[in-house]
Amino acid sequence: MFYERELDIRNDKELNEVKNLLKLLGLKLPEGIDYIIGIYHNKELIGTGSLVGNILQGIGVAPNFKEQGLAARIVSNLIKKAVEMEKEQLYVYTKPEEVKSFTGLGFQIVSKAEPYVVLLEWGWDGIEAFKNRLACYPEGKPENSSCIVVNCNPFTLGHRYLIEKASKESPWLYVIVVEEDKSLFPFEVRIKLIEEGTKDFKNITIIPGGKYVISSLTFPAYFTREEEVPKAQALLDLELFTDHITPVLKVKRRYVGEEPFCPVTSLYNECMEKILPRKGIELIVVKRLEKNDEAISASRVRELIRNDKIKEAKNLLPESTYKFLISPEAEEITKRIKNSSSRH
Amino acid sequence: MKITTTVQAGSLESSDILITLTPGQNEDLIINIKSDVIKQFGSVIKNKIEQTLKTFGVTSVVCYADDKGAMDYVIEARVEAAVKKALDKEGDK
Repeated sequence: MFYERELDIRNDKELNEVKNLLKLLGLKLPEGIDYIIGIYHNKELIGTGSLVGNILQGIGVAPNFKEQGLAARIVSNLIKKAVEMEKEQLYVYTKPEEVKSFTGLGFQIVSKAEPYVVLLEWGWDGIEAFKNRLACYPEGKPENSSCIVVNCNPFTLGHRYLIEKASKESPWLYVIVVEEDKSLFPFEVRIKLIEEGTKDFKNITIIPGGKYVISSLTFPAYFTREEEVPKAQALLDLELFTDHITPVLKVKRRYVGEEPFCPVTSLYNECMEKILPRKGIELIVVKRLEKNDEAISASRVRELIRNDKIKEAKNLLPESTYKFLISPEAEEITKRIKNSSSRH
Repeated sequence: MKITTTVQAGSLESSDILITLTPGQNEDLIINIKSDVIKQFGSVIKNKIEQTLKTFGVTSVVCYADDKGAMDYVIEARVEAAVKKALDKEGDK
């Protein structure tokens, strides 16, 4: 019979067995494993699965043992462990041809980037719940509105210019703020500075992006390295955006700033040009606002902070952002920027 | 009795059901069901869960059930196991 147990990731012998099994199935050992199990048959490892944060990875069953419900056993075990670890929502990335094995276990498709990857989720606070919460924003607002997705790390005059232009040209504008805290300025600060810096626009609504708009969920880091990966990630994000978010907000247009510097963002913009029109969304690319022949960018502002030249950033920023940066409240953030070499 | 922790019993294997109990906000039993046979047996599954919860005196809970075609006595056993796990956990506090 089969026997399942937790494996010890510090035990090289066990880890090697897992590696070999996954290799046989064309998979790699996940990185940053929080929990890993193995299923044995006569002391031979024939199945495995891991939890990395709230993502199921490295799930595989040896070819001779397929069709015996072992995948269900592995996934059940991982779900139980995850719930024990107080995770409420679980995700899995898989090839399009493997989708059925997960939908059969109660997973729901969030987004597809064919032919590369499909994102599925398990739990009760998923994309549908997110859409229900999102649905209150467009109540009583005009249709055919526009949207813009921003990180604003921090909010500059460049962002303000983009929002102003979009607000003037649209009956209503939704400013969706990337919520995930991977930036030097925390989400709470970013959204506060956007709110303060756009108070004078009367036809905009600022919306927290939650976990479905440009998060590491739609940009799974562990998929990187291979060449086509950034493209798959951009597709995943944009398919989700156009399938789930724009229909709820009744948005017909997305504004975006031109991206001459960052190759990842520029590839993302390229994908937008292809996908959005196909889904009935018009894409408007706006040239960056320049000051002294230089495009205003948040990374330039961070660079000035890093080099102790906050004063020079004054003419790149709305008063509210500048005031914040020189306030005691910002001390911790500016310190972190000085100590960091992160581009984000 | 209120359920105050998150507990699970059962599995996603064929003919089983995975029961997840989480704390409720109000004094009532909220039951969410996912099943391939929800059209035919949704109300039967729901009644069975509700009845079992009541038997054990649960008055406040949000229950999620991932059904894989479990028979009613399986459902009853899984709900009972989940409630007892919740009581155990409560006792540990």
